[in-house]
Amino acid sequence: MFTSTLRTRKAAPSATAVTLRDVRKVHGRGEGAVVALDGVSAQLAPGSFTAVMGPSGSGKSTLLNVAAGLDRPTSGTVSLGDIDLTRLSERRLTLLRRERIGFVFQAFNLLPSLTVAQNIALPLRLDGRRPRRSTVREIAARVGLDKRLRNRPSQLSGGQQQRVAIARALITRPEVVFADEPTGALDTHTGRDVLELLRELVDEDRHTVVMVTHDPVAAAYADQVVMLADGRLAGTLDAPTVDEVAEHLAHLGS
Amino acid sequence: MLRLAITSARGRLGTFTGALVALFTASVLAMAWGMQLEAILRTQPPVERYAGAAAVVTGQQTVGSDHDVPLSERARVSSALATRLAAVPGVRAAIGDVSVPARLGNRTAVAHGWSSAALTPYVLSAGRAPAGPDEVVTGYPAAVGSKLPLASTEPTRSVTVVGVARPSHRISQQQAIFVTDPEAARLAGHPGRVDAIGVLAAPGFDASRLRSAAGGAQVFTGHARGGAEYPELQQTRTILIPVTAAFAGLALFIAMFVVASTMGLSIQQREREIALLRAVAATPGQIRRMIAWEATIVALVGSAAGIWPGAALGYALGHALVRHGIAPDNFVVTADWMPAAGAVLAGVVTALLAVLGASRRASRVPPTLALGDAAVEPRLLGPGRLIGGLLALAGAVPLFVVSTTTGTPETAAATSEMTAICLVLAVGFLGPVVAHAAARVLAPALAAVSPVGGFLASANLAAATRRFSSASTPIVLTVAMSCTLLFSTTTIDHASTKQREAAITSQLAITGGGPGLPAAVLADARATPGVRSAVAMTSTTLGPSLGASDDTIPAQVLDGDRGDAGLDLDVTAGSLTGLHGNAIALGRHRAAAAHAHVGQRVPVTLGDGTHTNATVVAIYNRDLAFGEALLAPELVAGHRTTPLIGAILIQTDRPAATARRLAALGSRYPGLAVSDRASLATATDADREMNRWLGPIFVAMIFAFTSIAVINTLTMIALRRGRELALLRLVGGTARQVRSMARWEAVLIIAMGLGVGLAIAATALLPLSHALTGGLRPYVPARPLAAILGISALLALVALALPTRRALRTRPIEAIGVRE
Repeated sequence: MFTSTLRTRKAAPSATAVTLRDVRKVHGRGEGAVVALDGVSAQLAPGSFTAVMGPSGSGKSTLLNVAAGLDRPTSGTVSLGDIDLTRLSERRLTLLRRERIGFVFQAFNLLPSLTVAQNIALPLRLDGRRPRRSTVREIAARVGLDKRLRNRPSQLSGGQQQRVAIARALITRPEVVFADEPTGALDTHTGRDVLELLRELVDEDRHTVVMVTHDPVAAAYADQVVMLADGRLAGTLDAPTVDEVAEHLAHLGS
Repeated sequence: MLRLAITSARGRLGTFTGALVALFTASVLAMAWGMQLEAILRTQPPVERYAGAAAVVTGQQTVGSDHDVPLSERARVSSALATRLAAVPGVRAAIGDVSVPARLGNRTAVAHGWSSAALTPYVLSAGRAPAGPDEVVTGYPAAVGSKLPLASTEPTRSVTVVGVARPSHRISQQQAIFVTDPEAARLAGHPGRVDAIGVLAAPGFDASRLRSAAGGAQVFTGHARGGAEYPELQQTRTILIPVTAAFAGLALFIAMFVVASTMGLSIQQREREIALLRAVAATPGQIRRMIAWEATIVALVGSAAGIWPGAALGYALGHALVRHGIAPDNFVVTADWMPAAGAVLAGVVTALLAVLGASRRASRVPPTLALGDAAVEPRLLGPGRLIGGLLALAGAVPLFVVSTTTGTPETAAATSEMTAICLVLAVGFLGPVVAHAAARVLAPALAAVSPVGGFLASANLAAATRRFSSASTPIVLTVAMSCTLLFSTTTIDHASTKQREAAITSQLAITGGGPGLPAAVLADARATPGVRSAVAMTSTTLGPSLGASDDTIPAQVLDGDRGDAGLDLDVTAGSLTGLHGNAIALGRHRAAAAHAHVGQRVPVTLGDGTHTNATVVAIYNRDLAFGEALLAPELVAGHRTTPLIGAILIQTDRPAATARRLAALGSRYPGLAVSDRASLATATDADREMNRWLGPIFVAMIFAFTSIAVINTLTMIALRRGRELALLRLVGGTARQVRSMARWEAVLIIAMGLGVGLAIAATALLPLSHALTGGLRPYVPARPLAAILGISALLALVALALPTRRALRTRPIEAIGVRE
């Protein structure tokens, strides 16, 4: 069942989970070109929880997309374990993403026509594997949704939908889970549930989580905070508190 | 709002393309058919022959309770009426006129009695009036004193041109020749009755006084006199007006359907934009007005663009109608302002009606529209759909019953088409249930065949039943309607050709050119050595009677010396040998409708409207071959427009030698031709000719519209799914997997469309076939069927594949970001 996953796992006992080297990303060309990332380098350790923060337009979402292999940098390299993503073809990149990266979006992005179970199992199915019911149930139980497996997304609350998205990101047992403002569309209470779930994934299951957020409270759940401003790194905070993050952020904004 | 609408319309021409093309097509068709309708309504036959008469009196050419059933044979009046009318004050003279088809030398002409020359008037320019039976005056330049062969209702003989008469004005519709009055009456073969009575006015002429004196006869004055000259025009009207109205109406109806769905989709796509307008304080009324203006602009542009091509099509159509003998030769269409204005107006009204529902929905869009995923439709069927679907099904049932029991091809064809329309409507309403059922049945199989693409496609089918049904409905419409229309015609044609082939057992057939053969040919043919039997068959109709209240009945006059030799009509009761005197034989369906049996005397309305009684001498089965009634020649003598006969079936033991001898008769009967029986088997009447010709036009029209609907609906749907496709790729689906899903979805949509469409066509055609032939095998030629199915499938495939391809070209992260 997990042969394919095991194979990829063996290939990746590297010192860092994600490595960015001098990554530049320019949107557009000529006069109207916008520099979204301007020489960013970072190393994220396996089993760590990193929050990426910065004011609007600082390039944090671009950083996440580039790191997750959804977008390609204009220059510089992005490595997952010891695989250089920038050298892979679009097809190889898709396959790698399928096996080794989980992604959680702000707007849940579940397929409306599939049930909860089918949505969770989708990455396995796309990989040509037949999802085993017990695996899906196990993952669903991990996010507390094993009672709603036969429901459609439209019958769930926002928090529940986001937990389905997280379960879907986990089904392939990826090395890194990227989350883009996972609490952005949720109220404070359900947002906190989702953040606690992410924290648990790191503490108990040794997953690596990278999360973009603008919320200091959310960032405080992370092991470290990476600050971005105008496409450049603007400092890091280890074991951050809400107040430290807020202060740092205010400093950047001014 | 107008300015906003213009800017908005200009900015998104893409989304309006479907509506624009639909309205353009509707306008082309409305213009083309509007030109025909205008021509029919406006075309007064010119007053030529009777221009010199103040009034023309004829028999009642239309009968029935609403006076809307035109008789196919000329309704005459008694010549005694002329004497009575001449006595009315203000009448100088009342002259009876007969028209006899003739051929003088090489010229086709109409022969009249000399006294009727005053009705035009024709005035002698050379020579003198005819005095003996072998003398004629021509109404056109000819050499006085020349001897020419005259062919009319008799064997050809030589006559002398004794004079040349010139009309007082140009006569375009006929070449007139004049013989003596007794000779004209003799050739016409209906003594005591005349085709029309022309009334010459004296001082104090009063049409109303004339009317009261005329009794039941019709009195025409002024422009209407042309109607008396050309009674066949009335028949053309009654055939063409419903056809034109049906075409124009169907064009506008389908246009409305297409415009409604295209505009509806474009508004759905713009929900966020409309929500934004509402958020910046546009009132719901303003939104409605904006959409109405958009529709008006699109309609004006589309309809205006359709006028010119519509006019071109209209001219072509008018010529074709004349060429196929559906419209008379004097039928002239013009690209007038009326059909043009009508087409534009109809386009605007259609577009406004079409966006009625959409604009109401749009104005209800809340300003705080959630930006989440498009929700899956919660309910399979709303109450509106359920009621509409059940009503449409309820409508189909009685139609289905009628088409299984009727025996007349026309009724069967009409009801089977209506059945198809009702069923298509029902599928339109109940489509989601069909899609749901299909998903239930197909999902496990699909997921097994294709674990990714097939699985996703069937999951989508089960969840988005409404989307799938609205995608396949246009295909259902195309397949069901074109198959029913085309194959009901081919089934009827095939059945009647089969029956004719079986019914004609003779070896040879004699036919004439033009209006027919003189009755004397029959005796000459019988006297020809080698001929075992000769039977004359002449097409005519009966007026409404024998169980038919609003229609004429196709019939044949059968003149056989030894009964029905050379014919096998599968007589089930009685015998055709008794078909003489006041005798009639009925087809089984007509007999059943009239509750008639052999030996019974039944009331019959003849082709010219005369009521009489006839004895039923036989009942036969093959009523598709030569009509529903066979009439004895004595029964209809003098009650047909001409006494000419149609065709003669010859039985002989030595066909080749006999054919040569019969062909020699051609010297006495110009136009006579001898052929084998096959030529008769495929002969058809004008009605069927029209169906055969209009059927493909109808199908082409349906295709023009539904292909717009198919492409538009599918493209819109595929474009809306850009986000969903991007998401699939974000969670690890390759482009190939996404394409595979789209392909399977296309397969599902097309399979549902073709399957349901064919099922509807079968439901409509099987009873038709059963009613006509007793078998359950409608005649479906393979090539048109393959064309209909292939083109529909191809259209859908292309319409689905292209947008998917385009959606896959953008990077998924951009596609998903666009709408955030």
